[in-house]
Amino acid sequence: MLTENQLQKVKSLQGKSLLAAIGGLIVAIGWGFLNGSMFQGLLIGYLLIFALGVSSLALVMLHHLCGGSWSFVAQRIAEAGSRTLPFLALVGALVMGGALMFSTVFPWANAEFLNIEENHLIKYMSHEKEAFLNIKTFAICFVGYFAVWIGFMLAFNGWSKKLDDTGDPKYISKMKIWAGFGCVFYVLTMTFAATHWAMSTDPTFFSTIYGAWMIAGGALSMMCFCVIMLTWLSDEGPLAEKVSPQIYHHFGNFMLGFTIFWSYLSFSPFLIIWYGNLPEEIGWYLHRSGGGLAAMTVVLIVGVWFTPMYLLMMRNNKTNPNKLRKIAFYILATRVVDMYWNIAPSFENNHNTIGWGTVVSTLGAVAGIGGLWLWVFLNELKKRPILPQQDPREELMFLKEKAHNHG
Amino acid sequence: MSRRIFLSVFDNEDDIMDAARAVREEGLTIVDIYAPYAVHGLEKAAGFAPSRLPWICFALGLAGAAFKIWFEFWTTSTSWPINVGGKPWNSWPAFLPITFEVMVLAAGVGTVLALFITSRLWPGKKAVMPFPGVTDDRFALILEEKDATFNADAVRRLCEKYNAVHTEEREENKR
Amino acid sequence: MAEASSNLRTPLILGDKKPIEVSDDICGILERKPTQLWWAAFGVSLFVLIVGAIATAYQVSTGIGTWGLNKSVGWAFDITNFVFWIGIGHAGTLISAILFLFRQRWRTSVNRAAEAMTIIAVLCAAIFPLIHMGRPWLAFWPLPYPNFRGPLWVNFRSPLVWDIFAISTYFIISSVFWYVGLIPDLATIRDRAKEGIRKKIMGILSLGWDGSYRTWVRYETVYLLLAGLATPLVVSVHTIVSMDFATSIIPGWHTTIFPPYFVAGAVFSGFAMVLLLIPIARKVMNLEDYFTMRHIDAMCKIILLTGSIVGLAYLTEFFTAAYSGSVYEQFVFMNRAFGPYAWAYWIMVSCNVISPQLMWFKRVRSNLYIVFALTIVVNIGMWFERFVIIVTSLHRDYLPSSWADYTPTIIELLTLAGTFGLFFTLFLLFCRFLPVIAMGEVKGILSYGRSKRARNVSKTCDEPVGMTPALEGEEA
Repeated sequence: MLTENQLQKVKSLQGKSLLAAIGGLIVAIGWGFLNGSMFQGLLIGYLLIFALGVSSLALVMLHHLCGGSWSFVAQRIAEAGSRTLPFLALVGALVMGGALMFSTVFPWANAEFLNIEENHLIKYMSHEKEAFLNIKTFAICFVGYFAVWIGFMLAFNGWSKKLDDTGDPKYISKMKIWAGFGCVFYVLTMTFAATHWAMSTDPTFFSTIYGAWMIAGGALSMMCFCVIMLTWLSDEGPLAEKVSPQIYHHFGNFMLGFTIFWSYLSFSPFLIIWYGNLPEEIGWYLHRSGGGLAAMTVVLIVGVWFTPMYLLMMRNNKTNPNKLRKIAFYILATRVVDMYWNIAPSFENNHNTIGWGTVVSTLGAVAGIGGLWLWVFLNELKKRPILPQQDPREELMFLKEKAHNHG
Repeated sequence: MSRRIFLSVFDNEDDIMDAARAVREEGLTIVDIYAPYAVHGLEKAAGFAPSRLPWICFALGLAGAAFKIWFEFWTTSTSWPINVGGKPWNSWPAFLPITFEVMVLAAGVGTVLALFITSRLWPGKKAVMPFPGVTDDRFALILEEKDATFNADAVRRLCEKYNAVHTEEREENKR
Repeated sequence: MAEASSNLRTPLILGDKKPIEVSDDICGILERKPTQLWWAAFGVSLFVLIVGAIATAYQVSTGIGTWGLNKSVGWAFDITNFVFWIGIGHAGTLISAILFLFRQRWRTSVNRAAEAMTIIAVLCAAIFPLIHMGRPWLAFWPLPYPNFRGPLWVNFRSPLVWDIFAISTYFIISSVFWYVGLIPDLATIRDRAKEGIRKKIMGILSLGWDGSYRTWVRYETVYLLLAGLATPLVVSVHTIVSMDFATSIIPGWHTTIFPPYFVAGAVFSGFAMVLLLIPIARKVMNLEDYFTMRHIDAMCKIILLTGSIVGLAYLTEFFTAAYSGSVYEQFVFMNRAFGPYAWAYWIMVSCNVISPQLMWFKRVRSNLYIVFALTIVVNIGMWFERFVIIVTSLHRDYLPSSWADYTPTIIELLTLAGTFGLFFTLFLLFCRFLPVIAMGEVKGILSYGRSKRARNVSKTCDEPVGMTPALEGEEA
């Protein structure tokens, strides 16, 4: 259980996050309404926050599949994160529902769009995609994706609760088996969802790696979020006993790994599409090559790939919780830049330019949706003990660490 | 110039580790340790400085990459520009894969050569070992008898406390 | 603590050995005369190699018209085999470098053999582009050396030139990594050997290694650096191999998932090959204490993981082709699954996606015979994967008048067989003349002489404590 002090801390952060949410939403909705970028910003902000919720579910399943002490201490954080999925479904329905009504976000959702004569290619390709890109399919798939995720979330949280109460190993083998299926479903649904929610903002574009790219970015966010939560909550209480520099080292390695993986998944499709130079694909990159966006690309290379990679290569930065937390905050901030770069230039008013209208409403949406999400998350975190109570694997998982301390 | 050394031989890694720590606490100078495999933490116990080879690796990798990217620009856009598939002369995205490969090649091979040079390893060099079996299952600890205050008997007793299987004093020519 | 942990975990090396026993076990293989089984295997491999060499000599002297290629399918068997062998090699680097970085200590028994496999596999792979050049004696032309033709430089924008750099770098770095790992073991053999030819050769190769700890400190640093360099290198190599296809605009090749998908496929097939060799080596050389069921279990899990990634990549490709709105993309994938090469496609799917799913079951993973059979199945599947990608994308051109089919000739089949002969010949020679297990590393994970610390637990204190017990194959 969290200690009294920690509960106070959580409560006060909840208050602050609500304030941030109100402020952010006023900016996103008010400002966005005035210049028409409301749903553009909300979509980008939503996808960033959504990644935390759905990656939490992935981390829960990964833990049962092949986790260790590092995922053991983050298990309740991940479970609480996964329990925000119903909230995310609700917000998602509002954001996507609104976005579908405006052609500035999903051009294909607008009947007029298909009649544009100026670009035959866009018309042709989008027409071909009608089977997948139409409001009805979009809505059905939206419900389907969330049904899968929430289904897995309820199952794993339920078994985890029962394991807490009984300590019966049969729940472990159950979770292990379903975690395997869950991971497969997770990758599949995320690929489809990324296509629907993000890639289709540019209806001509298609890229097979896009889903994996989104998964990698979300996983990176989740690792950073876990580090921040662990450093924040391990000042006293049960976590203080369990969380060691080695565990931070492990998270640091994961952050490094996902940073490199994200960069790899960013550069290799660019090289392939740049090389092929096909009209239906290259447009996506052309829209990101002019105006301030070229400079933003350089910022991405230096700030999102090189800087964190360089910092995380150093062992000292990974074993020192304070340093690692700072890096985690930094990476979370760069995730906003990355998501903006990934989606915003596909909107017609943002081709080849940094649309400051969208920038402001994106920042507002991140604060707004993020604040609300954090409130829900902390609320869920309080409901259960901060560590699994009767997990028979616990001893084995911490064996190496003890051995080290004794040696 | 020759010097006197004190050799003690151990059978397992716990003993050499403790002995190395103990003799250092006594203020004795460890010339070297001979071991059949790398024992984690022994370098700290013996007080050996960490290697500076990572810097050589970094510098060589950087030099290799810089040279290669320059070379690709020079050959493709200056020395003899050829239009292939309408790609620009300075096709930097296409230059990166080879740049990376050359960076790894220069850093990897260069670091290994640096290891051979700094550790004085070369083909045909005759290995001089202080005691048979240090490349198999024995550990040897070599101390320098710096001055008259070195009490061989005391050191022998200290080493035998850590299960030394053999101790001896030797005259050695300095390298 | 010591008792508690040794009860909970099976040790990495069975038999509670002392360091000297490790040397006896491993060096003993080299010091004894080869067994009849070894001679039989060597004879068969050598025979197949000679057959392949004759086929190669024939096609080089006659010309590559001896192949079944045509105007549409200008690239088939040779490149399939090239990618297949390069992929096999990747598991060796994965075991030696990536698992080293992750401090997966079970790797110590398998890494030497796996690295040897890598180097041999890259050699086998390199044969195919050389033959395909038609005039292999001019193979140095793709290198950027100053010449009297201008100087006319190679086209650095070409993925084929990337390939040359990638493969040669990979070969050199893998060999260097392997050799650096061998040096302490060579010194051990040298010091055990009586006066004679073995002592002489090992004396030269071991570079005067004397076990000085000051050298060990540098050596460990260099080993870590090489592992850090080899890890991105192995990813880059198969990325570049995938770019040979992906940078073109041929539907079915030009797709952004290729780099990670090829890397996963390479690891998948490579681990299958390691798992094919290890049980044989274990039986033939009595190394049951070193190659334990725990190793086999862990490698099965990696095969299952990478096999599932490959399966998801197939699905993603299909989905994206359907989504793309490009009729050519859609045609290629329909043609793969239901066209004239559908048989190859379904072999690929059943071998690569469906059969590895059996490895979810512990009972399958702990049965050597089933595992052995599955690894052969996976290797067949991965060979067909490359065949399917290459041939089905080419044989239906944009113009129906250029549509053609491809069948390999007997010469091509014999060349492929010949590379298997080369692979096993060299691997058997390696088993005869060099230590198949990294003695220096294995001695470091024995429980002997480490009573004060928990047995078989943490070799290194910077080991990430939480590292996946499941991957190490030690569930309760």
